[in-house]
Amino acid sequence: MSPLVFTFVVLGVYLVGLEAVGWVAYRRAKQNTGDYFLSGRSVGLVALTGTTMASLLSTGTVVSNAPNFYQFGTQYFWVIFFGWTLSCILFFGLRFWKLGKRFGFITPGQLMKDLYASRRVQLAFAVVGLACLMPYATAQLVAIGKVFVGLSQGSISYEWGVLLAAAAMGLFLLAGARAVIWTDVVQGFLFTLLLAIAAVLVVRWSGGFGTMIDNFIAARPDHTDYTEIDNWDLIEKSFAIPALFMLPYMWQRMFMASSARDLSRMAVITPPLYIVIILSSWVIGVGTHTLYPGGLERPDGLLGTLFADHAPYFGGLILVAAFSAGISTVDSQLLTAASLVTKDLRRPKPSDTEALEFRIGRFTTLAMLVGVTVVALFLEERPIIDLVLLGIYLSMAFVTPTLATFTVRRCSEPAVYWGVVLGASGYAFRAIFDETALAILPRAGLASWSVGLSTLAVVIGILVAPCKEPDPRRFEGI
Amino acid sequence: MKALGWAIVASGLVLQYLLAADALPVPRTTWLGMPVGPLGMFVGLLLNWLGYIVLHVGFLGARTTELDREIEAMERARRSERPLS
Repeated sequence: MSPLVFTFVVLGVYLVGLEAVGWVAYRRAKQNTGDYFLSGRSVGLVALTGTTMASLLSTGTVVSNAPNFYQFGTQYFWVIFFGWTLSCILFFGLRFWKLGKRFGFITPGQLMKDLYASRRVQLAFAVVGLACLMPYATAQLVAIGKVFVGLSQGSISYEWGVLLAAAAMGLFLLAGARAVIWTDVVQGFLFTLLLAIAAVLVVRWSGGFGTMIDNFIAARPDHTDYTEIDNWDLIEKSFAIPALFMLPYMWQRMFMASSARDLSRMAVITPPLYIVIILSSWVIGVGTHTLYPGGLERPDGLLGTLFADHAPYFGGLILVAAFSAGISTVDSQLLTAASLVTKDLRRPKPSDTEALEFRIGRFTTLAMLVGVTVVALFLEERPIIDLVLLGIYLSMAFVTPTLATFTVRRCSEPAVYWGVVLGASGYAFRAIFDETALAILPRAGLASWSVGLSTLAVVIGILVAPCKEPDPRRFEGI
Repeated sequence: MKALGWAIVASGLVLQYLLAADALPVPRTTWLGMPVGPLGMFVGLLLNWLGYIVLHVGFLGARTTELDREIEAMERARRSERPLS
């Protein structure tokens, strides 16, 4: 069997397995939105760890990590800031979990609406949340399309890769969050294991760890220190990337946990897995200097080239795992996006039943899948990490209003509402009128504009219209 | 323990940031077989992990167990209030 045929067999097995999991989850699903969007708030420790890992490490970042370490060396270590998200989960996550369990919130907007008795706060969280999720989900589909080209060694086009992934997800998404979580567990742990094995193989092919490091330092001594860093860009990344936690689909991971203890233990289990992924990616990037002393023609295709030359069958497994990691991220994000439409944007009628809301949720999920698929078809040339960062940077608009909600007694409804709205407006202004924005604040990027205006609005809101009687649930602490 | 845990987590984050910002002198040599620069990043990640362990063992483990009991009691009360269908 040729490596290409083997890769397609593995992909076929994976897709059949995916649909089988979806079918079992579909049979077990209850016809209500809490079950469809949050898996009945019954996600245990292993599943919670798997789904958080899968959410933290999408295809875009995982497939890009090794090539970027190869191209930029230590300068790419900013990617480690994704791990800082766990600190935010410990700080905010338990508060969200507690309020979600007690009051049955499904979306961030519902929680904020309840704390401030404000429909416009709910709408602001929903609209900006959707705007954050769409580029991120689209980035995953773009990444899947590119991985598919690698999987088929160019015999199947990017467009067909995107369409195949969308078709597979369409059936799977009918089953809701339970199916997504189950597959996240397998994919999260399997991908970590495969990447670790890949790193061990690269070390062996390089003639041992010592030889590999010696060759690396000889070839690129500048890749071992941290010079040539754009400090402003780094500052932005350091505060903006952990704001990944503010993306609504990460927020919902906290609502899903079956217990607070599992959430806390998850923060203990996840870091070693994260270290394995970063270390493995770095080793693969470093080892490539030994294996290809003349350099690579297409560094972006490092994983494909490396394994096609040295272990084509194993390479097939890696690419299928990357493909599956992308699917697990997109389906999570689409479910969350649909929950924002169903629970926040749509104003429910008194006559609405749970069954009706559930059907609306399911239909919206599929409609969103069609939307991001169409957009992804036109973005093949767009760098994946750029699209991912677009979504994350917009979520900065949530940071100050949310932090102030749980820490500042005088934080009021106008402060939170205008904090989110002006934060998003600052982001849009910087994105659309970049030359004017740079003239006003040289070098300040999307994240700075977003968090800067948002913080300004929150501070002014607190000073001008302070909250007289804050909801006591905001300060219950953990 | 809560303060100690957060302090260890913060020290890991600060170490990673200072390294990435080129604010610490990093020699172009190896230590324990690894280049010192990348090794520092992994030490930062290990510090984060240690901080989470201290937080969980020293504070969050017990607190979250209490929290789970509170929520379970609330859910039991809610179920008992609901009329049987």
